[in-house]
Amino acid sequence: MTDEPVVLCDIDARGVAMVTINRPRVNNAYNGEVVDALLEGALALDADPNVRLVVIRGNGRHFQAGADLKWLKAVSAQSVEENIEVSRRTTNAIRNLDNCSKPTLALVHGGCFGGGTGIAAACDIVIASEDAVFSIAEARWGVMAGPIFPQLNAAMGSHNVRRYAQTCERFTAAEAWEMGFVHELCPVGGLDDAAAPVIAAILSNGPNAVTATKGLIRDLAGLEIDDEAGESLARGHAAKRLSAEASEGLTSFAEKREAAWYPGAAS
Amino acid sequence: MSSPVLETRDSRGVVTLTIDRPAQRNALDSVVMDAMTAAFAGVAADASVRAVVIAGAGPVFCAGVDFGWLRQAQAQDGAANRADSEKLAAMYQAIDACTRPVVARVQGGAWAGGCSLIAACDVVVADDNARFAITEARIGLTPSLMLPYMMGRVGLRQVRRYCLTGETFDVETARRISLVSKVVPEASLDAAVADVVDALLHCAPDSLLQTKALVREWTRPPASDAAIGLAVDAFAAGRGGDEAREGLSARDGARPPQWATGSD
Amino acid sequence: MTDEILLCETDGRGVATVTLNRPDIHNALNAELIAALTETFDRLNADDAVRAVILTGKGKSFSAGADLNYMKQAAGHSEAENLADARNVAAMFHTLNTMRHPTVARVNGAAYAGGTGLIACCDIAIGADHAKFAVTEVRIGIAPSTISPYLLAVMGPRAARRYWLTAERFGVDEAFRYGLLHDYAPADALDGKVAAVIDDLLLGGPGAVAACKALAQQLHGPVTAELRERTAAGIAHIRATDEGQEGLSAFLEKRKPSWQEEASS
Repeated sequence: MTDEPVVLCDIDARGVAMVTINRPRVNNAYNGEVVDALLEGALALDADPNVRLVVIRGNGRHFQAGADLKWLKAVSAQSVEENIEVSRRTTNAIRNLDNCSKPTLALVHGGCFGGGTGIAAACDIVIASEDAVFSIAEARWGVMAGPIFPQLNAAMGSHNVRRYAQTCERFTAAEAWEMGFVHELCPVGGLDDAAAPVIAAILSNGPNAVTATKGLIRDLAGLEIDDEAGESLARGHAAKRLSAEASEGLTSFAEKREAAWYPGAAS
Repeated sequence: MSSPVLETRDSRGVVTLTIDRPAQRNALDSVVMDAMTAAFAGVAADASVRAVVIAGAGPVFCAGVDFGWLRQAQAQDGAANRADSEKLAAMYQAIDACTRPVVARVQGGAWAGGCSLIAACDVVVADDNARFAITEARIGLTPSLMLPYMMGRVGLRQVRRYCLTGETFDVETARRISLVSKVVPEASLDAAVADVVDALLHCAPDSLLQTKALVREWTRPPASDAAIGLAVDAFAAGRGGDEAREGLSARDGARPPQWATGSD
Repeated sequence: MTDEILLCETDGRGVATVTLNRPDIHNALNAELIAALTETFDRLNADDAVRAVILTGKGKSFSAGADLNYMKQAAGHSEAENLADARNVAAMFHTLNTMRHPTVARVNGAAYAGGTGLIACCDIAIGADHAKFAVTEVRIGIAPSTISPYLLAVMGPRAARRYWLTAERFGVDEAFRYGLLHDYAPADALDGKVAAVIDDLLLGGPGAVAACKALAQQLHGPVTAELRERTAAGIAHIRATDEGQEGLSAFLEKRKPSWQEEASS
């Protein structure tokens, strides 16, 4: 363990906030601490008049490997109310990021799984290096990615979510680019170079005009998720985590075996 | 009489529905429509079903709606025409709303209503020679029944091209506009479908139920009852209208319809 | 008058070609051209002999959006005058978008801002491969307005969240990937591509084609009068803000707007 924060944030003189998910030893898997940091970070950066744009990236070999399954298992042993609260904070972390009135840019390398795809989908722009690989594999572990479906549908099309959230197949950076989810590809190690002209372009634009334009897109495209819908997504998410299926899925992961629902699996 | 839709089910809970009218290139008539809708009702009632595969017998997946079925409308009153149109709409809706994942195995290609069938599926695997066209307008029909699904799948922009032109497009285009999910060589089609099914079986059944339900709920625009109702209105109006009469009669006479005289 | 800035010819098959004819200023839009477009689209829509409409630009560019003098006028207008003007622009896009005949944008060159809106309002768009595109409003401190419902329906929110917020220029490959263009070709092959699509369109029953087009737009969510009014009011309002004023002045005075000074300091 280290005392370093799980999410780093640095704001430069131009007003570019660089947010780095910082749990490299566990591939930046999210736990309660990461969720809280993102939840509060998105609100704070949105409210900070010096910030003109937010960039999100992962420290280490991967962008974000989804939920920390050990943490998830521990949460699932807690009360129903505690589970709902965890899911509520997870749902709202993504909603806040999606709602941020400033432009947001995700720089993705390596693994981007589960909640990681939600972070990318909630950002306005995604640049990925060619080594990036994606999956929405919650259903493999008996849980469910509900809180990020609205953002994923908007970012990659519901037909792609119907495929990838059900088959749980991995997809490559090139495939993510083809479906429009990723805006731009760059060579491995080239994220900063690829991001520089996009950041420069945003800084050339009227800050209020950019915020007005983002609001217009959200309004016209119906991207808003109201509190009632958010609460419903959170409760569904929590209930699934508490199901017998989730218990079996998370146990099968820990024991590195097929889950009981796979035909022919030794139960 | 044997059913034109063969239903098999394996020990894993995978149901395969094969449209079995190869001589008619698996054209959809009212018997097929009823059989498919009934098969999906059976799936809905059986909690042990884990996935559904839709296939077509013979060299081609589905040529669209049967011309005989279309012609019926010429002798029908408005209510009977509308009831027929609702029957076709009900089949597409049963596929789209199936709570279990649905995979289409597409060999050779899909035309008109065949494109509608696959637009309602979750994963569409096609062979690399498959061809597609949304040809309804060429016989004076409005390709409306697919729109509730096509809007969420290929989107308004591609609908405004491919539904209005009726042009033929290859499988690479079909994949690019998201009508097809995955393209493989013909010899690998069964293996590729088996891989998709295997991936689905690795997933927790209830997780998949909730996943599909939520993703459908957040699909924009939704394939709502209201959308389907508007689509049925437009389809029935076209099917019973003068343009369809002319289009079908031109097809029978192997001549171009009157409106096509300006093109070559 | 109209003939000078907008050409319209209909051939024996009923294929009308509407050509923006201000090549020396990249077919930029002004009040007069917008009025001529609305009048022409209305007339073609009412004509049963018309089967398809091609929209294109004369010269190097398709359309560069609003012209400079037009923007100068806007700078001197009151919010109410700008609103009246924006309503006319909104009506023009609406008329094109809802035309019952199928429409094809023959994108002969660059299209910026309002030019991209014209493309988005056509059913099918085919571009010359040198064409460039940009949604440039935020560069001058305003937001996309009357074009926004059409352009969003075409590009989708994912592409809009990049290109509307960055105002970056992009080429035909990106325009194709995000649906602004259905196809593109070298300039000398453009007419062949357009002709093939027109041939396909003429094979469809006119009533069936019109019904399909109308239903698709209805299901997507129609651009209602209320929404058009909202977008028109939006541009009139943002033009009147400090940032909108500064952006327009800087553009007309060919200097950097204040926010760019801040960013580079």
